[in-house]
Amino acid sequence: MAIELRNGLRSAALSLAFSVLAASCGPNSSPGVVELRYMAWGNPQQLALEESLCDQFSKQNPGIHVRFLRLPSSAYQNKMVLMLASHTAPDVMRVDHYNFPSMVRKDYFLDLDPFAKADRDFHESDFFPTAISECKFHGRLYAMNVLFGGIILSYNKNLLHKAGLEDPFQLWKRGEWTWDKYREYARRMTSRNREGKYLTFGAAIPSFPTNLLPVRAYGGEIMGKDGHIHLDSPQAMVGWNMWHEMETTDKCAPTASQAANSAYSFESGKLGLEFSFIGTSVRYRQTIKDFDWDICPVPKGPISGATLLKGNQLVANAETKHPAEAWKFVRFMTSEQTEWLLSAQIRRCGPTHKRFALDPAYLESEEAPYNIQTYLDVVEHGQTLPITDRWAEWTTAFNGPVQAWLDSGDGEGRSVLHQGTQAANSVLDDREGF
Amino acid sequence: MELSRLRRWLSRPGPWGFFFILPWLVGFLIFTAGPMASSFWISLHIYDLHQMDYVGGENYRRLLFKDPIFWKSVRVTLTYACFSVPLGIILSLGLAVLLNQKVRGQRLFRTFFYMPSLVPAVASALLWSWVFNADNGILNQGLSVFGLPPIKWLQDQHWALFAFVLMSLWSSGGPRMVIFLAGLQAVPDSYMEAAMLDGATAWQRFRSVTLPLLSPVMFFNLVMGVIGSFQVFTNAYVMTGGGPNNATKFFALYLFQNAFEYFKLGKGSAMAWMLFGTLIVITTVQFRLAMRWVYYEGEAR
Repeated sequence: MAIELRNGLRSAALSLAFSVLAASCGPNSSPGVVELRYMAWGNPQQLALEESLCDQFSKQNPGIHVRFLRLPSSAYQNKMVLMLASHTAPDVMRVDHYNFPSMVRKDYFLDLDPFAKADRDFHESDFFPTAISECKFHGRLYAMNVLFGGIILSYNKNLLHKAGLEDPFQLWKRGEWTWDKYREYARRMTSRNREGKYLTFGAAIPSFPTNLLPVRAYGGEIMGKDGHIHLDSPQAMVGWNMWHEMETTDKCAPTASQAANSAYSFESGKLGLEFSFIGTSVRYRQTIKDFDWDICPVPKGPISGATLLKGNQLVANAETKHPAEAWKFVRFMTSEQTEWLLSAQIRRCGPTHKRFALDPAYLESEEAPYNIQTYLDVVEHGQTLPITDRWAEWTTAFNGPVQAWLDSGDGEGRSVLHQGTQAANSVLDDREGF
Repeated sequence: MELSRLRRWLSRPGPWGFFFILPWLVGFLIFTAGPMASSFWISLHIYDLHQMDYVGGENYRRLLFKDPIFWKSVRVTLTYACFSVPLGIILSLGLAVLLNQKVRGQRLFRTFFYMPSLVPAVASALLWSWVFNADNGILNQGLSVFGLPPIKWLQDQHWALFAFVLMSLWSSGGPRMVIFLAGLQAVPDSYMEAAMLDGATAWQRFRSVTLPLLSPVMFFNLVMGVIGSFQVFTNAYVMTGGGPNNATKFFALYLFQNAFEYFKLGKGSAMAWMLFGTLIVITTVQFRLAMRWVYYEGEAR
């Protein structure tokens, strides 16, 4: 009994000694080493890559150690805002562009303009214009663009061949990939068994804001110069009606209840065409093994063929004690080398650097997706969304009735869209904060 | 002189009582009363965790007179409470009566019926989203046996709230049933025997003996049920996000969205105080009405 007790005490003393030793060997205790905290969210492949990039940066810069904080995307925004409010936010953070405009005006982020101007290797002209303009506030640079990209169309090549359809990427190259064609493809890729149960659907009705693509393509305007929403205009109606008819008349897209619980997801092989952000390619590479797939740009309409374009912003905390080191890390994480890994290697995003468009090696791919020209089309021709401070509020107000109409198929489109637009505009007309 | 006064003061039970509840008291002041007071102060401001502007009662005024979603959320919550609370109480009582029967495997049945309440809320919400699936859900498959058309439970704004009421009955076998069961076991056998000797039928015994004796338990379940129904959040957050078209926009969900999605902390706090006030009023009314139908043993009427 006494021996056991003695052994136990000895083990406890040893554990304590090791803990103290381990703590004293940690990066915090190294004299002269600056610790930068970096916070981000993302899928496992991307986070693993970012972790290795942080290590690489720390090795390249012996005076700086980067500690990587990962958060689940669902909790990220809340956590970040609370950390900023409590003055405990990390030195460098990734911000979704849906939130960047409302946060930058609250002086949360460091003005990077002086650092950019003092950096002889930094030239705005090296980047695609939108990649820079998305990061500016009152003409000054407050962030650098990361995970830049937009909406692309993924397609199931097996279903395409089965329906005897030409590759949409070839149609796009000839300038023939239109919304009418898209709808026809969706119809022809839909199949049912003898009992009438759907085996495959040609397309899926995307959620907001991806469902704005045909609205814009047919000349609809999201937000006018008057700051009001115009999503119930006759031009916009053409786009909205297309989604509605695909579901209710053509029956080539699953209803919300049919699509519930991922019953007809693209990865299951039961869906022909799917719009998504560029980043999904990383996941599809991992999960799709049973059929061939590829990507192509979004179809064009009579007015526009531009896709939606949106990045994330890498920002430095305005209260960081190490602004120069933070800028150095931001530059590293948005360098050509890093972007090559993210955009060319794991295909997580489109490029922000113009040089990629001229590099034949960037267009080469040994596994799906092969049509990498799509990425360049997105970053070169994509159009941004009118994301303002109150984006989350007005889109929620608009989507309430409109999504219900698209999901259930019931109701009269014009009045529903009018109702949604009115609700959104009443939010925008009201004083902010109430 | 001073020492003797101190001794006298210490010899009284009051100070010692406060001393022994001090850990709780400090915790209550810091973690409950403090945040409540600060949330009331915040409700008089526009506050987004960055800037705080005093606006007086404007948050309350706008909620009451300018915000259509607020009234929608009130309607949704009241409708839900009106159906889910009485139905839940009836079902829990029914289950408790059944489980109070002296049959073989009684304990097994009790465990079996209690189990649903042990399922985590999010897991249960995901499970129910399968049950309500309009195409492949077990509920619509059951309806099809009777030749009834499928219902878009969670996609149709006319059915979505009813789906939530239905789902609330899932937890009827939980703590509420256990409380009823305890109440039933406390009904003295002598009363039942006396009623039987007087020739009362089973229904008469239940109606005239069991129910009056269970009324305090029923009252407790009613008060707690109403409070709980005003706090519905997880299922709506996970399953519908308040849709379709705000048909399941419960009060607590709208409060959360305002406070933690749009960071309108002032509006969110005002809603929290309105919820608190409403529940105080409803509970006070329930206590007043309870005097008419709740009987405590030994109470003279």
